[in-house]
Amino acid sequence: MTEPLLDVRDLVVTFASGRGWGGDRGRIHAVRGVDFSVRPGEAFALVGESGSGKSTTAKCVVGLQKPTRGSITFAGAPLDPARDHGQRRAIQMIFQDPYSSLNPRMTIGAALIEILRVHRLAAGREAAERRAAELLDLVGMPRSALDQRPRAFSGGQRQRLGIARALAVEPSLLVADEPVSALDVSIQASVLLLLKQLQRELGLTMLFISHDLAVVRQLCDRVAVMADGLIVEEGTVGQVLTEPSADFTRTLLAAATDLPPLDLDLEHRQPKQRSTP
Amino acid sequence: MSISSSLSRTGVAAWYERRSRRRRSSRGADASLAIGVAIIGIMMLAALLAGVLSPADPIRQDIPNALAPPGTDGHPLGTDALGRDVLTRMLYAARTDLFVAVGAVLLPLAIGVAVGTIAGYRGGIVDRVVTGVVNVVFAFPVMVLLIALVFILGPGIPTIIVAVTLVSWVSYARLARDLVRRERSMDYVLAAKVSGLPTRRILGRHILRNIIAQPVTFAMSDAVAIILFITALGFLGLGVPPPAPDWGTMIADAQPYFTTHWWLAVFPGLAICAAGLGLSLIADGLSQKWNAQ
Ligand SMILES: Nc1ncnc2c1ncn2[C@@H]1O[C@H](COP(=O)(O)OP(=O)(O)O)[C@@H](O)[C@H]1O
Ligand SMILES: [Mg+2]
Repeated sequence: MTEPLLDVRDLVVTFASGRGWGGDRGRIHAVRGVDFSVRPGEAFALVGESGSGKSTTAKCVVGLQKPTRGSITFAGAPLDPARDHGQRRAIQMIFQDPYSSLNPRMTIGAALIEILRVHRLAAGREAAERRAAELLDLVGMPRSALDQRPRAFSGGQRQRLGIARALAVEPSLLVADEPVSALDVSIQASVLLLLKQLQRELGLTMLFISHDLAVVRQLCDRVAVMADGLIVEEGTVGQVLTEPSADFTRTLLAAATDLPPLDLDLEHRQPKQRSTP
Repeated sequence: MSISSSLSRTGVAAWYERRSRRRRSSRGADASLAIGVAIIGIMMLAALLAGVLSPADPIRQDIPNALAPPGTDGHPLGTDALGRDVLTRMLYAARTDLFVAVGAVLLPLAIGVAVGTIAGYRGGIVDRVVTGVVNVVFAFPVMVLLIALVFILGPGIPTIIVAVTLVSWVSYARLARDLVRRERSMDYVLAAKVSGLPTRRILGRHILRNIIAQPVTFAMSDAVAIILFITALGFLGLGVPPPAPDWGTMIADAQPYFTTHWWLAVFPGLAICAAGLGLSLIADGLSQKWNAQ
């Protein structure tokens, strides 16, 4: 078995709730001891209901949240919230809300060029502009977007721009926190398709977070099911979705949306199933 | 608490909310802005060109021609009790008052926004210390504090700017701090962090750009209050030291002549009103424009 790219062990995150009195009552146990690992090149899904601790786990991985306890290892090296430059670059994130995740006052070009230049990924302004244009090509956005601000774009387009930003630093792990749940169902498929294509073309490893098993089926190889801060079930997408062992997973399956299958001829494609029994 | 909100102790944020709720068309905003800029622009130009517009000496006395009414040959706005040309003095006063107002607005704006932004973003102990200091300064009655400072430092233009800065940076600090606290957990800021941008850059290029509108708008209307404050100091004899002219001192000097020689107080009074109106219109136009975005 290959060494995992990302290894999360006994991750615990506790928040002070501000309510309640002393002891344990004033704390929210968002993540209560989570273990999982993601192999290079795979798409690993973290699914669970809202509030089950998925985003908190993702934030620990990208360094936006300090774990209360536990360890995160990336490519064999421990990953602190104060990580080094290279580690920060290597792990990028796509946010859930495409409306708040782009700076409203910056043009798309300025935002991309800023990132490229801070990381010295382009020699000079012109090279940075060229690279920014290529990034837009990569996510299927017109180059004219460079001079526009986020408000000129729809939710689906903004999510593509968010993907371009994440890819600007050439990450090896992409964390996507419910990247399509804020989008119209009609647009969800095209953004998922883009993610799948990019993952294959760029050899990305993906930690994909969702509360929707239908989406996971389209996109992922393995899946861990979270409930109440814990992983209750883990396995390949085929296993978990056809023979769920946890009651909880069955409930989730019943709630999955009926997404049309993506038009992708993937060799390792899971057999198609209806999402509702 | 800057000076304008000292009158009613509602918070700066509440003040801004009220201002934002007044929604008007963007044409209205453009008109406010244009008229405001025109008024202040003309006043600044007149102040800069004082020597050209009026060749008279603002402090040269000419007792035989004292208290000449407006329209007198060579004195379109008349002369004061010492025979000095009122128009000339008003032009030079504009220099002093507008300069002091700009300084006394920009300095606290810059200091307050910088301190508040860092406190709001860093949180923790830095935030608690800043909030503590801000609250202590807020606890004093503004005018008393200002006048005490002017007494301690001695009258003069630098004193006025330093005193106003010491007192009013806290309003900007509190406003910026609250805005930044709200902003720092926004996804675009988190995204900037994940992108590996240095904190300096996240604060300066991302957060500041999104919050600066409110402090700047507030500063514009605070400038009105500062002009009134300078005027009040002049009236109390604590303002710009004589014989250099400023509008407040001119009105104070006119006190014995209010009923007999109206022009001595009315013209500087009008200048103060015009400056206040111009700055308010700019503040209003800016806030409407920024809110529309
Ligand atoms: N910064 C925070 N402060 C306090 N509680 C939080 C914070 N972030 C998340 N939580 C709580 O932790 C729990 C898990 O949240 P989250 O990880 O966002 O779940 P999910 O992404 O699965 O919906 C929720 O109960 C949420 O209210
Ligand atoms: Mg979430």
